[in-house]
Amino acid sequence: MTKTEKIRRIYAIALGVFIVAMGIALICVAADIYYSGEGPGKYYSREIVGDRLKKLAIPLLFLIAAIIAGAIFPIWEAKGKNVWATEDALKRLQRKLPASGEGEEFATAQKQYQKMKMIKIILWCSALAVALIGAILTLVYVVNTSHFEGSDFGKQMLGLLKVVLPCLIVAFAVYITVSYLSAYFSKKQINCLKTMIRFGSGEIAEPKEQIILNKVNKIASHDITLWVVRGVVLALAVTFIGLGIWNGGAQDVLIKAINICRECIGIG
Amino acid sequence: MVIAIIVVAFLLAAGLIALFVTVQVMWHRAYKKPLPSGEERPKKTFKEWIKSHIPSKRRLIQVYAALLYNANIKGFISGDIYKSETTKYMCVPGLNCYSCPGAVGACPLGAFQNALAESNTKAPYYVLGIIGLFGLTLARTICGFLCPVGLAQDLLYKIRTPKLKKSRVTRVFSYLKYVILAVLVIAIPLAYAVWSTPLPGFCKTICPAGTFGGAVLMLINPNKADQFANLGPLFTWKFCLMVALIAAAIFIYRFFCRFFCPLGAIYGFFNRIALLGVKVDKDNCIECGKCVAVCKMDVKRVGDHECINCGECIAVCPTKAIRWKGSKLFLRGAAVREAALEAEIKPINLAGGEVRVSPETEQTATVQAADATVQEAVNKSDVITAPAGEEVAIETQAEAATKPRKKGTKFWLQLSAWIGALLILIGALVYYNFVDVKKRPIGCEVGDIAPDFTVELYGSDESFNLYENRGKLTVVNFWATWCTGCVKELPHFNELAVNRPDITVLAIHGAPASGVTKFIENKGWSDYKIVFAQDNLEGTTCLTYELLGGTGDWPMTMIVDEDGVVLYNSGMQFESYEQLKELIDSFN
Repeated sequence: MTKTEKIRRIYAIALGVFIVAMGIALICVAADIYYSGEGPGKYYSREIVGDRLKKLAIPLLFLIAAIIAGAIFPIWEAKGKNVWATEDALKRLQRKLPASGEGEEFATAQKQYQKMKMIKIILWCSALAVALIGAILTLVYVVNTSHFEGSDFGKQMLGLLKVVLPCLIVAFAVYITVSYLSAYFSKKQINCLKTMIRFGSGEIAEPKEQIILNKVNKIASHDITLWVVRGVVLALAVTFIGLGIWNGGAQDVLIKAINICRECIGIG
Repeated sequence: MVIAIIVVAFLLAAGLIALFVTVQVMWHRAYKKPLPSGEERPKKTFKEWIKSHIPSKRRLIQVYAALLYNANIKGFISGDIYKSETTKYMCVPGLNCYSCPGAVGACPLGAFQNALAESNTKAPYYVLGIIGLFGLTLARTICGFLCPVGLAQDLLYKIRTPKLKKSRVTRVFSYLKYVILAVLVIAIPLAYAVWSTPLPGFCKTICPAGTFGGAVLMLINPNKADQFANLGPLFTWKFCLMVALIAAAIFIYRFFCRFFCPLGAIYGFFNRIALLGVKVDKDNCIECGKCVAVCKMDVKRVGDHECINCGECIAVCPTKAIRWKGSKLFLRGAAVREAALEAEIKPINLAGGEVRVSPETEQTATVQAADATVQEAVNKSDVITAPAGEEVAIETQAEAATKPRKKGTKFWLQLSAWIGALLILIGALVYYNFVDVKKRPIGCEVGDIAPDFTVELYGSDESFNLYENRGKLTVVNFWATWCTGCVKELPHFNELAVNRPDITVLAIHGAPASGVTKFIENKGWSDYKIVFAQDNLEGTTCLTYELLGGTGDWPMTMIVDEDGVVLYNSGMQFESYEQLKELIDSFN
């Protein structure tokens, strides 16, 4: 690493830390302003808010100066990587799968390949099931509209969050795990496929599901299909706009757009 | 004070310039040192530095769109939103809050949520049609070219800090925006519509465009100092979230777009059928993965639902397989160039496999062979050795192809388009700021005699006249069925009317006039002691509301004493009956 590159790296890291620190400071000041304005006899005013924010004025100016000064450096970009290289390589090799092969190596590889395939299907189905359970739980909560009765919006949202957030965390955790496991098993499948290609003979046999998928893709990607779908969407869009103008929907958009509902933009 | 500010600003600017020049000089001195290998560094001229820093066409289009959406510049000075009926019934394609003082159109996402909130009385055809039209024509090209929030994130990402790479984890998290779409944008407004409570879930709880464009820009205006009294936990939450999103966007490319934006999620459904966007020519694609590698979004394929159609992958495709949809129709230059190249390059047959050759700027060729064992090697390097041992290195006409072409029809068409667009922008700025100027309502301040007005009552054929009602303290509250805060505070006014029969409490509804009776019945307010009335409307203008000083913020409350003198006139929202009672008691 040259001296210049070292300076750039130190500058980038220092600036990153400074930005995070400023963000945390701003959030703390916002919380301080909130707690200082809450309660009987207290109120928020331009003076109170201005007074609290003044403390951050100088650090903010330094931050802006540092950001501008950094304009001479090239952008620190993360090097691009095809995250799906394994899956892409697997798809390409699957197209070369021979119909049959001789020898024990081919049979073993084929067996392993099918096993990995089954494991992947089970993993993805499990992930889908977890996501569906989460979706159903959320739906059941939302459909029961008694949860949204009354005017205590904060309490109602917290109640919704208590249901949605755990489902979301579990679903995402499962999906991330399955994604990495799938990549791991895909690599094993690639090795099996290479063995099968080496020891295989006969014509290339596309798997049945791949043939069906290719047919569906071909129909879906065909120009005629595309233009039919576009035509339908266009017709629906124009009809809906017309209906909306007729039933006063456009007027409602206008009325809402020329008046500010303060709570709707978060002033509350 | 003003002089001090000018001096400080001057010193700051001078300091920044001095710092900038110093760092530049240091940088160029360091750059002049020879490389460790002893070779001389390529010369870097100031002209090249300028060239590498001028904004791209995409950036110019993004800035143009942001300016056009917010052409009402005078709104930033007065603090009032654009209230004319000219263009605000139209939704802009990107995320641009209607409450931004400069906004000249409505936000499609906000309009969609409000339409769903009123879906118990009216089907949301209009907004669905608008979104469908935007999706069909542009889809996520809007995200890449026409969204001000996207522009802000692109600019924040340019700040020179370490960046977080995309990965499988970020791809999974990109599905969060679909959850937000389903729960906050669709389910919450529908659930609250059952209780006749208008609530745009995403706008209220998350949207940073509303927080910055609506709330922050309003609060920093001296004319809106009284709005600080309305701040509370909701604003604190949204402000903190906005700060976190801004900070995250510096380190993570398009943090909000990738993980939070439900509008991008909606447009993503249309990406495949959209008329404009990037498209991969599968016949020429060699699946090298360079497009996915260079893309900063969480795409699996170019043109999938995560693709914002920015076009950065077009330049890196070695076989020129990626192009803009419709480019064969509208960009004939590209097709001509490809045809010329094909004629100059001769394909080479390798070990009987089909081979296609494409030019590279480094004067070598990328070769694709049908042989599977060679395929992997193709992905790792651009020049491969053929199975027979022959090295493939073809001199291409790439240099000739990349030479600048003479100015042709394409250049003049582009120039005309830019001039036309510039004229439209200038026209919009002139119109919204100098032609379509609505006078601010004179209003009535505390201490003035309230102007007389007459409004029709709901539930009877009678009307209410302010002057005829003299002799009693009168509380006039302006509300609307679409206003969450108004609907929340009206029960407090009813409690006041019940506890203080000596006070007249009048609730005047703004626009629209339809559906109000049904709304009152659904909310169970029919037996309220409040007198419900309808404001006089001229189109969408609420005449009494503006007569008494309303500038577009809802709700608004005015209190008039027995002699008709205004005691209170403010947009402060009452969070509790006690707050309202305290105010009334202060006048006794």
